[in-house]
Amino acid sequence: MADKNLHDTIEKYLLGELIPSEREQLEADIAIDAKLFKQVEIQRLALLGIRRLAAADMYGNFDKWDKEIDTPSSPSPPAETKTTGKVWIWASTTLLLLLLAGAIWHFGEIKKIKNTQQQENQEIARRDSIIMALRAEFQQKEEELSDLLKRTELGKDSTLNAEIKRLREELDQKDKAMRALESRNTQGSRQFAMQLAQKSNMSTRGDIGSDDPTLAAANKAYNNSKFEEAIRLLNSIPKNDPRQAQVVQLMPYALFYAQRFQQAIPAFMNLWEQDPDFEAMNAQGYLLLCYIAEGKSLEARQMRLTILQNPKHKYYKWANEATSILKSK
Amino acid sequence: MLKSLLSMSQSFTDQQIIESFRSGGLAREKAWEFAYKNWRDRVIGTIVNKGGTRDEAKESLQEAFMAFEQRVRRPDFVLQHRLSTYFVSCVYRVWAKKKKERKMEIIELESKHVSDFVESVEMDIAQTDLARLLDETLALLGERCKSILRHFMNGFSMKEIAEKMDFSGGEQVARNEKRKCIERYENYLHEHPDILQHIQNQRNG
Repeated sequence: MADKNLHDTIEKYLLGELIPSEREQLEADIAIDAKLFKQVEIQRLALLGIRRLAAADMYGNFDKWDKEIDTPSSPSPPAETKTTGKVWIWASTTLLLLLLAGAIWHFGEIKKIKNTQQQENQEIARRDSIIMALRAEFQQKEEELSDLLKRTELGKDSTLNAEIKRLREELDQKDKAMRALESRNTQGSRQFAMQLAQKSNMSTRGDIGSDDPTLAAANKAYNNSKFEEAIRLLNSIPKNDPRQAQVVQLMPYALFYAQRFQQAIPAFMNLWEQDPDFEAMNAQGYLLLCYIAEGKSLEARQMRLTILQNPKHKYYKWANEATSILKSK
Repeated sequence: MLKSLLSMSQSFTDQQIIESFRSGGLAREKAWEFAYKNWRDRVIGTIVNKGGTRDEAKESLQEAFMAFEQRVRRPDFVLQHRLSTYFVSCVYRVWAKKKKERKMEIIELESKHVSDFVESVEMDIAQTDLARLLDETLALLGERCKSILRHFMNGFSMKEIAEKMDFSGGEQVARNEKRKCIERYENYLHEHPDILQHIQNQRNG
């Protein structure tokens, strides 16, 4: 073991406490004295070991200070928590505001949908009342005419004949007006439904994935927009045939694009029932169009609301666009 | 409210931190509390921005802080940048060294100031086998000796150590006890073949 003074000198050297001249002298001695070098290295390692020991004391403090930094309500937070605390407060406030905005938007949307539904109901009631009035008037004129016709059997009264002629003309006009009104609604709706559907790529369904010649032919016909041909081929497959699983998939779309909306409705319902996980959204979207095309306003409105309840619905846009046509009906 | 609470905590200039490190004891601990609370997030932010994790940052900080303090305590230490910048750079370099990413872009500082520190830390800490040997040898010391040496390394004066350890003879007894403990530790190291081998390697460059 080195003598006491040398030990202290080396310790001071290792702690950087020697004055430059003493340090240079010691380093010169170390360079030529292997024993001294070994002593210096041993003391250096000893200090390193003790430093590791002392460092462990501070780890507990670090943990304690970590908790103080990361807890904004700490009784004596450090200056650094100014930033951390502020970030936390801002983040919480922003989150709350977002939640609040989300809630307001959500309830606003519900209110809007309810209002829209109410307005639609009023509009439909108004239109229904017009049609009802026309029907009533038509019926009344028809009865009057029938009455007059009975009377004409009794005599050749020219006044009566003139009155019959006038009533017949009026009746024809009313009949024409009523049919035009109904026809305009239906035609517009069919056109609207088909226009929306054309935006979708469902009018082609790629390869149906079957080696069966009938199914492959039906699929080919469908992809070539020969929907009636596709329907015929699909209908040729017996009801209890295992291939019905693929028929169920293709038939509703073929019926829809063939504009057989009334038949397409149960076909889409069946598809929805058979494959709810993958086809529910498709079925809902197309059912909406079928209902619109068929003039089934009540069902269409209900389906539209169902779709609008899910903003991520594949056919959310369709439901939104359907608002205008449903309002006008 | 936060601001008023914050103003209650003690604030340190760089020079005050250095002086507190040199004073040791409670002053040192207070300075570290200020430094840690003010610099920690900057250290974490720097390392996370360079692809590290929060835990890696804290681990590197724990490995670097003592060597940093020892370096700052030296009478010949000259502060060339803000102390916090120097600290962040030192921790970052320790982390980068651990990740064996020597070619990574060095943040803010690329000076001998930091390089010296890195060499020192690399020698001190990166050799984990050596660290393990030192810890094993330390375990041979009694708790009393370890407490004395810990207080000594944490910068407590001999008078404070005497008070903490209840040495009736006061400062001189503390000094003698510390010497005995450190010599005992050095003797264990002298006798350890792996340590001797390490020293031999050092000697041969």
